[in-house]
Amino acid sequence: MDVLTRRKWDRAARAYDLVNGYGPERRWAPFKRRFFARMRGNVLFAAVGTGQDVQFFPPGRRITGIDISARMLEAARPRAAAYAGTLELRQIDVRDLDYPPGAFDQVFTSCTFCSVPQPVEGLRALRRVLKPGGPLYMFEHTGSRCFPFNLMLRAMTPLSRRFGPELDRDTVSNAARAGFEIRAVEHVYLDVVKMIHAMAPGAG
Amino acid sequence: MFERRPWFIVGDLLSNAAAGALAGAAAAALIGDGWPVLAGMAAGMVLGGLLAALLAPAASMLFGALEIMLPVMTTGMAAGMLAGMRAAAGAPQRSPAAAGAAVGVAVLLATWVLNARLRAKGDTWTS
Repeated sequence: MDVLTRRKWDRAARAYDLVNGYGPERRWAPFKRRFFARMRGNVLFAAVGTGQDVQFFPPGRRITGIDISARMLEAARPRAAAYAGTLELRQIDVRDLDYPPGAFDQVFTSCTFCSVPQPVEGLRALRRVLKPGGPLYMFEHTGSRCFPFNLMLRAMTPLSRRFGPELDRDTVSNAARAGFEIRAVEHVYLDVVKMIHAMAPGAG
Repeated sequence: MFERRPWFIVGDLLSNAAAGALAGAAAAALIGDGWPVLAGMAAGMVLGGLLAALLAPAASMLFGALEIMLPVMTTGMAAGMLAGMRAAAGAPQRSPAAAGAAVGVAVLLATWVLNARLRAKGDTWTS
C-alpha cells in the first residue's frame, strides 16, 4: 500500500465532507444520479471516500467500495450501513487489488483517478478484476484543452497534489493506455469534469 | 446545456462579481501611475489571481468545485490585469471595483457559452 497517499487522504478526510459535501455534490447531483443508475450485477466502486456518492446509488445493488484511507472509510460506514442494498467497504490500494480476474461485472470510479499515483497501473488493476467485455464507468475531473483553463490547472497541480487531487490528468488517455476501449465521453463541465464509459477487452 | 438552477446561477454571478470587484479595487489601489504599463498589467494579474484563489475555495463549498474555481480565477486575473493596466497608464478610474465586477460577469457569461458548446460537442452517453 502506498503509505504517503494513504496518509494524505487520512488527513484530507477530516474536512472532506465540509469542503465537498454541499456545493460540489449538489451541483453534480443530477449527473451522478444518471451515472450511477447504470449499476448492475457485482459492482466494484473505487474509491468510495467518505461515501458521499452512496446517496446516488440505486437501491438493491451489490457493491464493493474500496478506498486507500481508513479515515475516509470510517466516515463512509454510516452511509454504507444506511444503503438499501449490499455495500461492503474495504481498505485497499487500487493498485493492490487481490480479487480474482474477472470478479466484477462493472467498475465505477468517481473523482478517483485524479488522485491515484501511477494511474495507468491503477486502471490496469481495475481491468484485471473486471470481467472481459465489462464496462468501466468513470466520473472524473481532468486537465483541459482550453486556454486559459489548461494553464491554470497545470499551474495549480503542484500545490493541489500536496493536499488532494491532481488537476491536470488526462484520464481518458490513461484509460486507453491501460487497455480499455473508450466508448463515450460526456462533458459535465467544460472539458474538465466528464463521465467516461469504457470497456474492458472482450473474451475473444 | 446551461445551468438552470437559481442557487447555482446566483452563486456563479455573486462569486465572479465579488472576485472581479476585489481584484479591480486591490489592483487600482496598489498600482501607481508611475509603473510601466506592462508591469502594472502583470502585477494586477498576479494580485487578482491570488485574491481569487483565496475567495474561490469558500465560494466553492457553497456553489460547486471547478464550476466556481475556473471562472473565478480567470475573473481575478482579468479584472486585476485591466485595473492594473489602467492604473499604470494613469487612466481615470471612477469605480475599479464596479469595473472588476463587470469583468467578472463577462468572464462568467463567456464560460457559460463555452461550457454549453463543449457539452454539446461531447459524445452522447448512450450505453
